[in-house]
Amino acid sequence: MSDQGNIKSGVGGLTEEQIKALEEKLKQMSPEELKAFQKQQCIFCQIVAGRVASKKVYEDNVCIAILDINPANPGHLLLLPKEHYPIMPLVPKEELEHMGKVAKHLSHCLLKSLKAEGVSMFIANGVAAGQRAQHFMIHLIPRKEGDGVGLVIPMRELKKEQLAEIEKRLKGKMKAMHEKK
Amino acid sequence: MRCVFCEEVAKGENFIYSDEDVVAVVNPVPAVPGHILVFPRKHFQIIEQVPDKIAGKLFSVANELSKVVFEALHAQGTNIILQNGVPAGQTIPHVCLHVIPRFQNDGLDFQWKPKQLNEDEMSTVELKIKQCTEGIVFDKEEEKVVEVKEEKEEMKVEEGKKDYLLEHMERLP
Repeated sequence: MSDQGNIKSGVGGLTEEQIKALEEKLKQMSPEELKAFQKQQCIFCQIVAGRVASKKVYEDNVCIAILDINPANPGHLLLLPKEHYPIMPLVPKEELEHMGKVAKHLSHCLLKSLKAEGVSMFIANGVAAGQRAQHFMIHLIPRKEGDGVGLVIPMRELKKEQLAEIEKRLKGKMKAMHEKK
Repeated sequence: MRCVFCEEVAKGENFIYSDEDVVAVVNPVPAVPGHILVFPRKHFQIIEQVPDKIAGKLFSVANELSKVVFEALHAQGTNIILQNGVPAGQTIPHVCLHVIPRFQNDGLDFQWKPKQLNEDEMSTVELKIKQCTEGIVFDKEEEKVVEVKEEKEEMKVEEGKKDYLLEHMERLP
């Protein structure tokens, strides 16, 4: 399971007519109904609700942390908001900041309880970034020297003009987004 | 010891974002162009040393910048990565969140190979971590800040009385 959602495999057994009917139904749903439907289909919402078993190591009113059943290393945690948010940009600021704090403390616990030598935190937004589940999550992976997990961030030389151009575009967009608010 | 991020903070020129706790710069040696580094102004080597408030802020600022990356560069995805400690790939001894724009066929690969653990091994790990998480204590000051902030938000309605109310509420036990 790890990061994978079950939506596709769930649809796999339907006939074309059934899929069409389902698509039609989805189109007619209100945003609230759609959210409820997504929640129903989301394995991690089922875990949060306790309808699917998991190895839970932390819980508060905002989030839970469970063991990934396909871990990069033993002790690999998934920190999930209880509410269903498909990607990070949809998570409200206060909930995300709370999760950041929890991630910090969980990282400390991985160092202490498993004698990890480091922790990788990893978030993927979008399929192109490697996201597989339809539920936002922070991966916390306990690390040891030479564990072969990877997650190495390459460094590439960039021309000064290119860097300046990127900076300009990002700053321009930030300003525009800020003004909109 | 010389820290390039502290030097950036001291220079104070190239920020794409800055507030009293957190700053962000565009990485001059990026994984892909538009790769942003978000880090605290103060020097902390690992996330465990960072006060809760700033730890939380690092994530919300990274999220805002991730939204900017989506819009400004038409990225198809973003990764947010923290390399906490040398075995996790940390190269600069100053806590830093990477915000990396992603595109199909961008040549990056952050996938890991899953390890197989049996039920006993999983249960042992679960128990060990749980024993530790039961003792988690969040920074105390942080809770107060949240309370005050909520009150501040309510007060926005009563513009004129803002300062008076704020003073008054801070005096409450």
